Amino acid sequence: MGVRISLIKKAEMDQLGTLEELILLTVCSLGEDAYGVSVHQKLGEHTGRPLTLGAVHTTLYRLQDKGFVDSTMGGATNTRGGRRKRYFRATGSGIAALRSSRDVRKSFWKTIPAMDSAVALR
Amino acid sequence: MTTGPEHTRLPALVLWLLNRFCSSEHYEEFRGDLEEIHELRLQSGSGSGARLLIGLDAISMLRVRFRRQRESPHTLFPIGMFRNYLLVALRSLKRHVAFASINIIGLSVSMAVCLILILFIRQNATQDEFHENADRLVRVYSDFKASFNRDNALYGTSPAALSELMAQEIPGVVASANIRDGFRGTLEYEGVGLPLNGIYATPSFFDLFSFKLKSGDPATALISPGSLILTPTEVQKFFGEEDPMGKVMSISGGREYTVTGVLDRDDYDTIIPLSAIASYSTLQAEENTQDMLETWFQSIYRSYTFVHLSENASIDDIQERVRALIPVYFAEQNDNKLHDLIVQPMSDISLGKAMGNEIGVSIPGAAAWFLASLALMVLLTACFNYVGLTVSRSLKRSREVGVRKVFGASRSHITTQFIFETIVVSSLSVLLAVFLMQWLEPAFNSMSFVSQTGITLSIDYFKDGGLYLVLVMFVLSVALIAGFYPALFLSRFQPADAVKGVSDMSGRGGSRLRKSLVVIQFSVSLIFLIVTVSMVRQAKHMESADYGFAQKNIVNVRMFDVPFTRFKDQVSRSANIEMVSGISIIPAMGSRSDLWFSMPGMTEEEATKGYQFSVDENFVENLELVLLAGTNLTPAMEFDTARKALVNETALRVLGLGGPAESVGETFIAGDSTRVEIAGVIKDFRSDALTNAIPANMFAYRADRLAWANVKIVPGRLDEGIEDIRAAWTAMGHSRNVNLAVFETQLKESFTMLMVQDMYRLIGFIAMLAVLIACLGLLGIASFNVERRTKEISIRKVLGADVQSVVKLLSREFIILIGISTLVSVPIAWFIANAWLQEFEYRIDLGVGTIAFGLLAVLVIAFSAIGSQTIKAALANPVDNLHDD
Repeated sequence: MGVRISLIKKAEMDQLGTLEELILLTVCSLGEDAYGVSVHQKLGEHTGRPLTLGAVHTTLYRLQDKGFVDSTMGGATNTRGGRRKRYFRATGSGIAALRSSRDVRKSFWKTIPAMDSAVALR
Repeated sequence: MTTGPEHTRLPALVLWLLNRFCSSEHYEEFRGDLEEIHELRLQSGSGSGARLLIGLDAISMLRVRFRRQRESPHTLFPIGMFRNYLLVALRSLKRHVAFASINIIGLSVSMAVCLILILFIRQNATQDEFHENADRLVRVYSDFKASFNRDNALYGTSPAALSELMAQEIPGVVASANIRDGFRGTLEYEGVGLPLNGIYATPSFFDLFSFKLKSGDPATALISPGSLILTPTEVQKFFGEEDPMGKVMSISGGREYTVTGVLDRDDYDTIIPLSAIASYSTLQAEENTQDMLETWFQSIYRSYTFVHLSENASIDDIQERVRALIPVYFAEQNDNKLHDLIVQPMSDISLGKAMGNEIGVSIPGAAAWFLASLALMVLLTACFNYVGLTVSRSLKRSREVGVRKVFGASRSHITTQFIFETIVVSSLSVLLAVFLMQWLEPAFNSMSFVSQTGITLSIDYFKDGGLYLVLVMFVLSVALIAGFYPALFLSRFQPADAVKGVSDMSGRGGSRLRKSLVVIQFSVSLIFLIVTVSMVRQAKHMESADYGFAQKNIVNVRMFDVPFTRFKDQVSRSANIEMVSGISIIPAMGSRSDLWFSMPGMTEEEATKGYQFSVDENFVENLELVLLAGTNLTPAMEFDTARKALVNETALRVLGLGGPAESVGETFIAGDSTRVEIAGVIKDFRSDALTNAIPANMFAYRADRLAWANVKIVPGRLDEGIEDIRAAWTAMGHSRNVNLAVFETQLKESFTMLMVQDMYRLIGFIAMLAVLIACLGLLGIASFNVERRTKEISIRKVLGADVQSVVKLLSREFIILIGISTLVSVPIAWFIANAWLQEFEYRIDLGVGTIAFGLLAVLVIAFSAIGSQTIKAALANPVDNLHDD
């Protein structure tokens, strides 16, 4: 296999894009059962806005390139023509990235007390 | 929901995308995901919505990072593989020498013919492209209705004044040149006199065109009246090694010209006749030519307008501006109408529209394409041969294909290999074709339609680099046409079938194709052959035509400016001369002098066009014409005073008069208003070319218009008679050489005759090729058929079949095929031959005989091809073929 040229610039390697963050969250919430279709379905349920399967796959692989998830092939299945699934799982750095993202947002929310409490009131 | 491994509900497009583009690394995961999500959607919603969504999903997976890598990057240009293809191809040719040579012979002969025509057309198409501004040069031609014509016609010429007018009035015109033909006569210098056919040109001639002068200054050579530029060949004829510059020559003993320039070479590839160029100012200096140069409708027949456009001028714009000049400058007069002036790129003249008064002889585009399509048809026949033969032999190759596939060859490898084999065959054919062309070239150039154009085909492999490109293109296109289908067909075989030895491979897909190819080939051959036979018969018919007048032992002598009576007195002294008569135009040669015939009281529309001849009193007797009624002409009946003339039977018919006897003494109107009394009626004879119907004719006594003498020589003394004519001519002390022709020869070599002969030679040659190639193909298929059925035949013979029934068995298929070809081709051939014959007024009836002859010829050749094979097989001893089993 030839050298695969990374399409991700070095500076972006530890950044977490919005879609990436959502998908990483989905992977975490699915626990042991995170693979292409389940991520796609769960994300669709939560956001109400379904993505294409290709977008899900691309993002999952990009997360893997960044080291936020890792993956293993599962065993043979009874469904889907007996084809195996690739399961994804968040890594430590993935969870750390989610945390830091949440912290950044939280700290911003705190600077806007009115809006923060308005949300709390509802 | 459980789906088995083979069961999928994914749309085919999705699977195809996945197979084609998804890397094997991701294939399983993605395919599984797609299957699963599709099932989910199918269960919850509509099928069509799910199919749409899954399609979008599949497309969204087409990412660079999931793309399939090329399986083995090092096969990008596998030289070793090609070496192997070449080896296999050569081996296969060697093993099947007979088939290979049938293919190569057929292909090379048809390629040679095709190439010659392609090169000839190419040479015509590139005429006049050497000029520096070739792409900016245009010619203006006219759509004109002359007063003597009923309809408008295209002329290559345009009004003489147009050239200068365009240069002055139309922006975007850099320069314009006026060329005028009719620089004719006998060019004389110190006792040498040679016929001349040159042009007049304005000084801008050398600004427009890239002709170079060896001596003389192009800027000044055509300025003063009486300047003359010659080609090296002409200079050689008159001056030898002497320097021609400044020498004074004369035309027909009259106007004097000074040589002011010599072209650097003769062989410019141009449509402009170059042998002699005189300055246009010569014409302008002559008083009496002014009207012919200035008035638009009078000067429209002989002047060619060439224009050099500037880089940014558009032809459409120039066209509009030229058109706008017509109402301003063209004064309609005597029913002359200039419908249009058309601007045409100079490169379009050759192979362009056919039109009158064309500047040089060129092949019209339509004729060129007709020739090319004939050649292409022959080439296709040869290609079909290749296809038919290869497919019919597929059984033999199927094992090879099977074994190759077992060893891992993919279908594309096999296809490439077979295409490669075809390329090898077509390359060999082209090589052979190149040799054949050397041999065909002189024969082709000697045909009159080629020699008339002045473009002799020259195949020069050293000078002409484009030639190689043509050859390579040829090899590849033939290989593609001939090799594509067999390659696809042969590469389809499955190893299992091949090894099992499925007995009739060729019978499955190839058979129908092969049969239709045989039918097409034979139909084409038959059509060609029948058309050729009818052409040959027409030509023979014309050669032996009964013109209705005497031509034997008659020699026609051109009078030029010698008074006819003087020549007659001189020549009549010889004992070898029987009689002399005079005439204005030689009949049946296609030359004519128009005359409108009408009766008093008829309107202009009711008049009929015919031709008039000026003759003397001996004309009727000398040409052995039949005077049906009335009296012959006498010197007392000089037309301009007596207004009496002879007419032919057709004239009586168009005038609506009765029989010959009762018409004598009647009066009709010749031309606009001349009332002429019919002195006598002559039996119709072929006064016009054989392509045309006999026209209405008037024969008037006009002693001063006898341009030709018909000299009848005592039978058996032709040579002596001609000597006497020469002696008489010399005795009169005329500066010109005598111009004479034997009437019989003149008629045989007339333009129409030569054209017909050319046509049937060319078409006949192509017909012969088509038949030959088709029969080669038939021979190949027949011999293969026999080979395949050897055992069957042997068993039949052992069981008691006789030779006759075996032959019948083997040839039945071909008889049916040839029968179908006959049904298809006979109506088409009939139609084509008849359409061609309509061109001739004097023609044969296309009888059953012609068709039957063509048919018989093809059948005899075809059956000798099949017969040799079948009879051999039928006579063979069964023991020889069966003893192995």
